[in-house]
Amino acid sequence: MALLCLIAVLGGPYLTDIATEAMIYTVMAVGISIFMANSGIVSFGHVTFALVGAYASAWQTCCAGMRGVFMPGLPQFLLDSKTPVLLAALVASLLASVVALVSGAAIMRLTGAAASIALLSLLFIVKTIYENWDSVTAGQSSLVGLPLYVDMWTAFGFASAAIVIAQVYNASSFGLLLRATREDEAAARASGVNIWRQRLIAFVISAFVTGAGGVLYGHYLGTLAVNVFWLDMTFVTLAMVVVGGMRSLTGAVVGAFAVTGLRQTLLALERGVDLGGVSISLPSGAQEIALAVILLLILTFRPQGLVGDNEMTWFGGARDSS
Amino acid sequence: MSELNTEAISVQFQGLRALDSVDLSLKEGEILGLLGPNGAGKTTLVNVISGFQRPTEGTVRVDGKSVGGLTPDALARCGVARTFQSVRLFRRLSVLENVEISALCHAKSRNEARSTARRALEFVGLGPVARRLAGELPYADERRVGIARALALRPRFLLLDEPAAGMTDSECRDLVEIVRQLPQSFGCAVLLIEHNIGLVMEVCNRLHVLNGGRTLADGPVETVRNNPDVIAAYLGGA
Ligand SMILES: Nc1ncnc2c1ncn2[C@@H]1O[C@H](COP(=O)(O)OP(=O)(O)O)[C@@H](O)[C@H]1O
Ligand SMILES: [Mg+2]
Repeated sequence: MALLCLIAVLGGPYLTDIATEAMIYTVMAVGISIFMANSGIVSFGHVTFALVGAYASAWQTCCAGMRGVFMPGLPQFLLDSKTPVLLAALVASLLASVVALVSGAAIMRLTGAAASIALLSLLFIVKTIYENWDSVTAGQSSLVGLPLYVDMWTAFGFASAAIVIAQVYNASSFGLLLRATREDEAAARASGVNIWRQRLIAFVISAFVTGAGGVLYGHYLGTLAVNVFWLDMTFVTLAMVVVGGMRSLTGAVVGAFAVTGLRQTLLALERGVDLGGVSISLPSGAQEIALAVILLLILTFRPQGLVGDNEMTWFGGARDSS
Repeated sequence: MSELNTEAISVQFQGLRALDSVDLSLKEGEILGLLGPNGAGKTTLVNVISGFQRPTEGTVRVDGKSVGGLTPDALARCGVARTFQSVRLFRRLSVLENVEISALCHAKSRNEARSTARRALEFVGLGPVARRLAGELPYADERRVGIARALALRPRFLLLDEPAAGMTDSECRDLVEIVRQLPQSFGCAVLLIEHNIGLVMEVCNRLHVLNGGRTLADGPVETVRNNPDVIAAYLGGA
């Protein structure tokens, strides 16, 4: 918090932007981590919920009088609605949860790699639907004119709320039961744990938080395109969770900041910097490659991530070994 | 009076008949020893009873009602608990959490589950290590956590798959004391798989002997011990 004030006062618009972006990604990474850290299942599909959340918020708040022009297929009550942005964010995140409940009922019966691939299929399906559903998503073109209400402090508020939700879940009996299934499925079943049910509960909560991350993303940029919520974003958000520590909430937060900071530094280098009169710039694409290489190095030499299985105490919550 | 029965259970693995028409009964208050050489089908039978293995033929009944369609977790919640020959603790969770997880089946809150778990750990003598990570425990203690974890389910039938394997003599004696108290302290019947004949004779009321997937003998300890088939197939060789 103190650091954010410092950034706001001294950092200028550039650092403020980076901090805002880092906190938007924190919301997504924390959302993914609620499911991944406790279930042990790598999710290639969580960007689906960011996509659903972002568009659902746009349906309620976008484009002032132009909503019917961009999205003529929307039902009348949405075309007329003047939903306050925060209420719209809540409703949008809940819609992401509903999508998780319906799809998860089937996918959560799977385990390990099969579940990971099924989650990727979910992203393919939903992305394709949104891309071709021109009348409510503007299809292949972009939506512009989302209310720009996301500044650093809004993002900070959302990130804090996401962390609180994750912490409450982790400390609940549901979190503990899901960690049991992560450690040993057979032993969890012998201990009376309904694996499908526990995974589904976490999936729905994590979709809610990831959906909120998607909402922020749209209202930070002011424009939306379906193909933003695709493999690049999947890779970046997964990298955050893995870099920080796949089994830890603290890891997701640390990872979101570390990866955002790294990407922005590399992007700046791609644009070129002046060093004592010599201008150097990295070739474009260096950012993606460097991130991938760093991810490989971490997976090889520190598979538990930067913070391992450790948890920092957030907002005075109880420490829970997980 | 509650009772668990298997009726003509057979399990076929491709070419191998791991169990062949096995009838076994486990009655309230008793400790039944399940004996047999390696590969006799003991673990397979425990897997069938606890819902992990579907029998090719036959039925498992609890109090006369078939429980064939139930999943392992549903069976655990209805009072059929088991341990694993390979222990299978939740290694990156604390010892207390390991036991709390199964206690959550019947508890209304984490606090209530935690106190059930503490009592189960005290009972097996592991109160002092409750905060340690389960993966850091010595082998004998791991097995006792496994027993505490099963006890926290408040089982009516407890299936222990080689709980003494790899224990020293003094650890075995502690275990015998624990197992002996189970029917009175927890009100559950115990099925004990164990190779150490001395230990089995000491603690069991009745023995059931398997060999090559078939029942070789079933009855009071003295009768089974003097059964010539059993001596030839198992005791003689041990
Ligand atoms: N899942 C399985 N698939 C194929 N064969 C199995 C399987 N489980 C056990 N078996 C075989 O069934 C027989 C009985 O095994 P098991 O029940 O583990 O014996 P025990 O516990 O008495 O040592 C063994 O020959 C074993 O190799
Ligand atoms: Mg065995």
